[in-house]
Amino acid sequence: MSQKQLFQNNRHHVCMELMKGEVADAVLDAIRESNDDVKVSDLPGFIVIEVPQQIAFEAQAVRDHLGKLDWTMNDLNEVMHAFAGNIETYTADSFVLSRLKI
Amino acid sequence: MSTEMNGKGTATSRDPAQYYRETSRGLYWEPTYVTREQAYPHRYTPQSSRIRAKNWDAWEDPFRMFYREYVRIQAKKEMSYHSIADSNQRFDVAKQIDRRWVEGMKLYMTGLSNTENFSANLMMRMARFIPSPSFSQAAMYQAIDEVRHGQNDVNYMRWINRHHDGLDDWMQWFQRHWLLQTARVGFENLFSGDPFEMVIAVNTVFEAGWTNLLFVANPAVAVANGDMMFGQHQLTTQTDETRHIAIGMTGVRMMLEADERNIPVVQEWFDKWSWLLHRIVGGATSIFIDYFGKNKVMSYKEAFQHYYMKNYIEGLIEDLGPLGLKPPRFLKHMLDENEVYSHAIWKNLYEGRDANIHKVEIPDGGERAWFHEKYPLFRKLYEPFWDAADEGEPLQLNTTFLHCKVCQFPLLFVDANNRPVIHAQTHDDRQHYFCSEPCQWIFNLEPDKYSNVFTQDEVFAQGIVKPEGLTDFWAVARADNGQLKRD
Repeated sequence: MSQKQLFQNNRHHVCMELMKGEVADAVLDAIRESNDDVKVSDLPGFIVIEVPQQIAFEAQAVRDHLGKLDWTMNDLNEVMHAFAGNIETYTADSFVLSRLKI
Repeated sequence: MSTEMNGKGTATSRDPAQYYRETSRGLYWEPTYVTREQAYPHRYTPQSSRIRAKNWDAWEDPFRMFYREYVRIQAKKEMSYHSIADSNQRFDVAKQIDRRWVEGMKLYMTGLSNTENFSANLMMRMARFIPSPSFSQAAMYQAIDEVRHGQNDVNYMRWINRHHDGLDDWMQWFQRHWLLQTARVGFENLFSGDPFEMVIAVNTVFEAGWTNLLFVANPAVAVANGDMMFGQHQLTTQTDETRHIAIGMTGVRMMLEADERNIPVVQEWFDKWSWLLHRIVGGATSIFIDYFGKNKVMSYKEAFQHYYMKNYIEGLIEDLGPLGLKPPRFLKHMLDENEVYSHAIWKNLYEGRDANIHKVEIPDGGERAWFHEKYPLFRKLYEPFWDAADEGEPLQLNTTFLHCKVCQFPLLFVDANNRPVIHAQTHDDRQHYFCSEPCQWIFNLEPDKYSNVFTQDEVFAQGIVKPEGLTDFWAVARADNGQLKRD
């Protein structure tokens, strides 16, 4: 197989994988609220969230869906076990994962 | 970024970015009583770095982890891991695990617990030698992460050993099983390397490229075979890897941007470690996904396409291609080998089954039909072997293979016409063998580094172990592999 064939179907997606549970559900709801074309796959133990170009969401939206006021962006690390893309923004309030723009 | 955004007394009132800067670079100082070189003497590094560093002070961990938050989050992860472990124990979940998967865990956890400890050691070397306070701090967290992973691996073996015999001698097994020697020499290779090479090898290639196969594809297979604990175990491990991956990505970007003379050096390490990790991680993972998992979820080939090609290589080259990074030099070799990888290893394990710490089962008819569908070469190259096994042929090897001087894999691959693949070369009047063209290429980057490391067959050739003592040499007391009882 030549390398040209290998790379022809790159759809520039970014991806987050989250361990299933209430936090993952809340993060997914927050992502759905502020991103279009969100594709979710259900695998044993975890979900895979794929979005073209960029995933962005706010910590407040996750808190609202989760119903827990003390959830912080750092708590994302507890459930996110994989991602594809670059972490463009990571603050107390917002998270943006995107393809690198050089 | 406002620190008051979600204020009103909630836990979110502190901006992690600002706090991170205060607790990483803010705590660093330039030495004045001695020079920097005196404080960080080069004699502790095997060589001074080939990377021209510039502006590493500006480097930041994308997750901006600081110690107090690190401890809080890791404690939560451990709490949730151990509550699942407790629940598994309470409801005797271990009894539902398919026995073949348990056999695999003897090999898997033995390999993983030891390599996690190697990684912890490597991370501390990175913390010591990379000229950036933020990087040192991130590397220290990584070191603690790796210790956590290694301890959980041992905890898993302790748990499963209460229900299934034979997981109690993992320290010794690591020194014996041939597949694990590839991991051992790989890490020893890194210990004697450039600290920036460690970043490329561990963070950029291993953790970004391979851990998803290891810790995400594998758990899916584990769950299908009744092992819920493994799923949680590996996924909680992988949440730490996301931090390491982010560090690797920004680290390699920093190297590529700092000086264009770094580009060929980064590429060389990227090519070298992409191939070696195909050996260290790919080989083992292929048999867990294709063979130790009796209930199939995906083939190793498919997992590789998804996690390595699509999620890793495509994104990496899209992002870093403009800075000069090219796809791994030996990508085609990896893809070609993946057509037979798990089958070649499983056949070899079966031939040496008396000496293995785990049972090696003959794949049944349903599995072989599945292999036909997933692997077009299986029928021609490997099925005749299993047909012969069905007919009761012993198919045991009482000798050793030649081994690759670089990766220490036995030369067990065959070409499409079923002829053995062997590469050979003379260095300093000694003949060395290689499993593949990539390993030979790696040898020639630093021939003196590899030429004095003995392979298994060289150990035998020196008479340290006699042919009739072969099984005893590999065998380990109390490892009940279904064939031998030795105690």
